[in-house]
Amino acid sequence: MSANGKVKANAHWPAIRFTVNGESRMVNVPPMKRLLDVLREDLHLTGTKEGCGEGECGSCSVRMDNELVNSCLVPVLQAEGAEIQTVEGLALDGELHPLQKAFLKNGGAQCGICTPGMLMAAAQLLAHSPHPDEVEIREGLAGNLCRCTGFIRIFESVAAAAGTSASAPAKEPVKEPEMEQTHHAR
Amino acid sequence: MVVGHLIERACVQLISMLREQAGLGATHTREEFLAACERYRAAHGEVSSMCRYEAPPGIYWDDQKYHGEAYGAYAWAIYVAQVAVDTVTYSAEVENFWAVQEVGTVLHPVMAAGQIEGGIAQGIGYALYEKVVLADGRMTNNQMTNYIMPTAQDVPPIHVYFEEIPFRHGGYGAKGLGELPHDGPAPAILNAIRDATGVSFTAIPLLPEDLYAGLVASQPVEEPALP
Repeated sequence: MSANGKVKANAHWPAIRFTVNGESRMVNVPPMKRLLDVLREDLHLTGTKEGCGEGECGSCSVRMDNELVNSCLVPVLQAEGAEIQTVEGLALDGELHPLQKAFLKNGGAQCGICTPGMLMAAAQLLAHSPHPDEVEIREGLAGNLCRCTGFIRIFESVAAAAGTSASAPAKEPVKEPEMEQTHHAR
Repeated sequence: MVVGHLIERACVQLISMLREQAGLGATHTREEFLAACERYRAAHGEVSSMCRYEAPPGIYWDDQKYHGEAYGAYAWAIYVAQVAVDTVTYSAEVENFWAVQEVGTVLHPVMAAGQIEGGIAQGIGYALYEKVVLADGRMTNNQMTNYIMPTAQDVPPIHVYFEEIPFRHGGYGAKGLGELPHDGPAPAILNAIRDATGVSFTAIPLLPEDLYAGLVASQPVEEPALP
């Protein structure tokens, strides 16, 4: 606070610089402020959503130096010098990313709160495994919870974007020798 | 039935109002529609249409005696669950799931099936994972880390089939479809567990400790060995 009681424009906080969706950005904010809040409140990138706020649901997922992070668990000082990609950075020149098109076409989004995080988790998956099978897709999205879709259409969307198939055969009942341990009902 | 049909009626009413009073043609493009709205607004003010729910003819309900058909648009469904019970860890896993839904006319096949799949995933959580623990009227496990819901690793393949019978009182023949898939899966899953184990469970969520207790209780008591 200055002598006349007005809050100065955060000048007393150290500058933190990082890149967001290819643009250099600088913020003067408390260093322990969550990256999630810096993105939404200071940089007005509200595509990233807060779900649980405790690193369990994956809704706030962004990519930071090509790793998927929960932005609710990242103090912004840790982002110093990092390259951040948010959902706003997926579309290129006004054209939706293939993942976004696939989510749209295949019903991968319903209420939409998990969708930005799902898209970033899917982008991370495809960056490492361009043609994932169903098992890889399930594992790649295991940290992102969705309440509406039952995940099935999200798997199909990711597979469609990657040009693979999400329809793995259902688990077959375990064959005879293992039946002692596992009972099956249909 | 109620909301969908109300919206359909309100839209139809609004279109005919624009045709009669703002020169909207019998067919129109989006731009022509917007232009007609502008003309209407300039001449009459807000473009709005209001409808009230009226009980459709043929559906009788006596609110004094509680006789008749309270709701004419129940949807119907069949749910089939394939479940494996691990008798070492006492966990149950849904491996495959089929649903046949009668929801009137399906208006948007992708979103309709998505609603059913999502409801079934919640139903699986309801049956096997999601336990609300209360203490002094408060939920004590109100975090995603201790209130367990199905993840991408837990949802089985879900196969959805529709039986389309247009419902004449619904908007474009549709009935509601989002609610029913929450209701049927848990009974289907518990019935499958009964089929697998021979033990009938009647409470959900059925956690491994509940399965353990039920299966142990159903075992014949062994005579203690004589010294």
